[in-house]
Amino acid sequence: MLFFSSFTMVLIGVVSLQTSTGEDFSSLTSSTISHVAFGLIGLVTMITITHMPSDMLKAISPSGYLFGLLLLALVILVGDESFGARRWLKLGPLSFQPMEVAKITTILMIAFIGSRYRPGFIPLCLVLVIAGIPTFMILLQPDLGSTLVLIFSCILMIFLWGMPWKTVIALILLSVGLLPVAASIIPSYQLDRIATFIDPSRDPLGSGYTAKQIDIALNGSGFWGNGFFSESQALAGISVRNSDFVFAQWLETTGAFGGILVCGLVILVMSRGIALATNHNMAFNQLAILGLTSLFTIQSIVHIGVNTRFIPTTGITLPLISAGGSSVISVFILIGLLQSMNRTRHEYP
Amino acid sequence: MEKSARITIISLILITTMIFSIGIIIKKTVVDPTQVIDNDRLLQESVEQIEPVRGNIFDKNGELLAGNISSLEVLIIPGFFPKDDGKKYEILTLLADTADLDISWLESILKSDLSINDPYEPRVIKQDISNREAIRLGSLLNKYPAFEIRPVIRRQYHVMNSGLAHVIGYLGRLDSIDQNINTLANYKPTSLIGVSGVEATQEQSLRGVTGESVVQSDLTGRSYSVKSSKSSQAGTDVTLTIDYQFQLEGFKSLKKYIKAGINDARDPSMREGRGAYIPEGAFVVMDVRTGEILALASTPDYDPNIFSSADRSDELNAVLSAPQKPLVSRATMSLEPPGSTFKPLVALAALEAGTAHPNTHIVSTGELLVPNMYYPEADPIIFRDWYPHGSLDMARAIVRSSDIYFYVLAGGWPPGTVPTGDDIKGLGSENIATWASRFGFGMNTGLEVTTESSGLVPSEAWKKNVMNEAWTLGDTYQFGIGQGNLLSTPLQLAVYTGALANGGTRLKPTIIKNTDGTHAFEKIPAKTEHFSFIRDAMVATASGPDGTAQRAKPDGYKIGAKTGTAEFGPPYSDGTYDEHGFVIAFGPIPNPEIAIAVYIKHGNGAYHASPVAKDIFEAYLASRSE
Repeated sequence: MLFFSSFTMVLIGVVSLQTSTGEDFSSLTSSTISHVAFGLIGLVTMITITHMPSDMLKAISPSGYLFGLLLLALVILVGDESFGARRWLKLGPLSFQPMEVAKITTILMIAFIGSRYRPGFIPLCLVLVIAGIPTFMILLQPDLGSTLVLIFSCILMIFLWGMPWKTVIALILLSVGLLPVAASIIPSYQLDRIATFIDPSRDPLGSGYTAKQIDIALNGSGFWGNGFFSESQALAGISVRNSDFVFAQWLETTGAFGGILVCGLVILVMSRGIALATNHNMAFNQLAILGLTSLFTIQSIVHIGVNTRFIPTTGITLPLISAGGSSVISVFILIGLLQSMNRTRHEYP
Repeated sequence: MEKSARITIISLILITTMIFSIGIIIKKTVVDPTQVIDNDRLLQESVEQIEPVRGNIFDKNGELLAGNISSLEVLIIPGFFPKDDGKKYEILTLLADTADLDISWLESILKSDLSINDPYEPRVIKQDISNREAIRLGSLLNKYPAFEIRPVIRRQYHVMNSGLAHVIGYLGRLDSIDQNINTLANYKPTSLIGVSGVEATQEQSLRGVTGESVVQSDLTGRSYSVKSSKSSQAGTDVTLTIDYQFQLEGFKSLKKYIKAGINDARDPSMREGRGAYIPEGAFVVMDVRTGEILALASTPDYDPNIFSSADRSDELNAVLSAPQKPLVSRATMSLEPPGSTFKPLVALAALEAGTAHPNTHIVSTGELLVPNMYYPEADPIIFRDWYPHGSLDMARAIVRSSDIYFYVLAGGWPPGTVPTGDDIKGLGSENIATWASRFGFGMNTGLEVTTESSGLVPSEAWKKNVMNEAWTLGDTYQFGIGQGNLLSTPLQLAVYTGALANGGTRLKPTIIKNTDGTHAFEKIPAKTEHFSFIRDAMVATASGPDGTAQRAKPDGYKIGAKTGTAEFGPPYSDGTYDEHGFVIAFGPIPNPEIAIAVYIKHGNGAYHASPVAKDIFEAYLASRSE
């Protein structure tokens, strides 16, 4: 089920990438080829991780967490800038976003702590510190989208762990309350994006341009969309249309139908993850499965929200569909982890 | 709470959000109305103003002085450059290589403050490229939206090395002149408007009327089609009264004698900290029958094309910061005491006031002693003549340019001294001031240029108010020989000379050829016989063997002239001063046609300014007989 969904989503990514260039399928564009390649690499990674015992995953999660922090620190120190944000780490010809990996290792580390200690004030503080450090480092890049995704996934995990309602609601309020603090850290261009979200005409060619074009693209697409290779591509002028705005592009070509299809796939992955979590009684696995599932789902929701303009513009990818190696591979890692934990249950009931 | 209950709550939250998302998707794609229909939905209409073609400026013989050339220029739009430094640099490198431009200069254009400047406003990076070049650049670069080649009409001036640059003036972008002016009808903020000279004063005629076109373009500003348009109306050509070839002849001579003046002055190393000599000078030639300016030159000058060429900003900055101040129009702005050229006016005033007559004799012993009015025991103040001329009547005093004669004419004999000549009453400073104003001193002439100084005619009240000092007899003496606080421009001297030449008609000088043949003037209330007397004296000054202006006379013609050599600045340690030279002249006699005023910053009226007047006369007479 997980495999089917993820495979379909990669396929949608391929179609979306190819059609965005206006080419037919007779000659594949370089971004399509690289998406396929990353998909294959991701698939291999997924299968490898699927066959790792979950006990081992649990054992290595503290070191994985520290490794994730190290990568984030490297990004801040020597990372590459693009579109005003410092998110990339260069390794020879390849560059990747450590944040994608760090999100997963943080989830695993929280699951690790949650499986060791009963819910309580001091363990909660520990969890908050563990979640807080990478969150803050991601915010520094700055990446508001990923920050929000990680915060909400962690809060859901804390809830499942067994913290009382009041504490969870307090945490949500605290996160919201800290937003102005975050706003003082993030540069003005992202604040501009928030401002143009409220009034797209404020900046017709800047970030408001994107918002306006999205409205044009979506409003014109109808239930079935404009079809593939349609000439009028309102989003053609947006540079990150294959990653941060892939869903808007998908909607432009396939309409509400395509949108519901993607949402269905996300729901499929989500419900599969939740089913796994329900049937699990090992604390680490249960927390990790729910955390990873939340990560996947919330990231999808934020992306869809940005692309349908009910969330302010923030650069975040749609799992498996958006172009970008780091994103595709890390989501396959995530799926691999889910399957590994699923397999563990079968073998050690 | 059970774990399973908590999981249920979490899944409910997530699934609700997903369903909400689906709802939004359906609302956005299906329910919300389509914003624009089909292919037009990407396009927006905008009204673009079409700049009119600016009128040409011709000289009186139809020679083009300022016109328009169509050319191709290369632009970049900073806002369309990729934000990614690597990609940006890639395009810049390509651009620098193909267009042969300095990459750091290109970067500086991109970095110029984008919060002030609109990043989507194109910046010119190269002008006047050939068609071949345009095709080559276009094929390499047209895939980048940040880059554009477009045809433009650009102002081009043909007044190099003529001394006419200040008169023609130049254009500037409206928004760079005045940020608040962008609501001016018939202009866009980026429109060019005359900033100085004829370009500015004749803006109304030259400008024309803007057209309009309705353009469809996408949101990035790339235009697709023109829906409708109203064509612009070209501006009206302006013809000047200037004779350009004649002006060139005069300018050549002016530069020659400016150089000679500096050569004949003391060695620059002996200037006691006054710095280098500035090769500065001007001349004005006016038709004494109409007030038309036939030539008007100032030097140092500049090439006005530097104002219309984006790639010549270095030259422009050099001109703006040069110590010689090339932008200052010397002919209409330089303010100096007119010196002895003022003496004919004082003589005329004395004749009119009846304080003297042509036979009034005064002996110049070389110096006039004025007792100190407050401390009679103190040494008297000495007012010198440049030469002990002996006994002079009024005509001889003008011919020899005697200072003592005019001291006495202006202020009378010093109290308590024995007159060496006829005991006459002085004119008094107010009388001189009145006559100076009648000849146009101390006021703008109204020439159609933007740069004119009005000069200064001093008075007792002026000295009290501005200098807070009492007017003295010495001041009146200085006034009488055109020195002291009296200040005038070469243009004012030409107008004054014109009135002497034509018998008392002060013309409003004009540089624009008008078709109806009328001209504005004011009649100076003085007797014709007095004017003829002054005229004759000036003819003698230019023709007699000992006339100070004999070097101004062209061969075979008679003219009237008067030199002026004025000392200025602080004295040197040997008691001498820097001098500048003037000459005013009119001719040919008996029916004068032109009046000339020549000014040379470092020179002598007789030896440096006069030969320029002679060359100008000869060029004029030659062109007239053609």
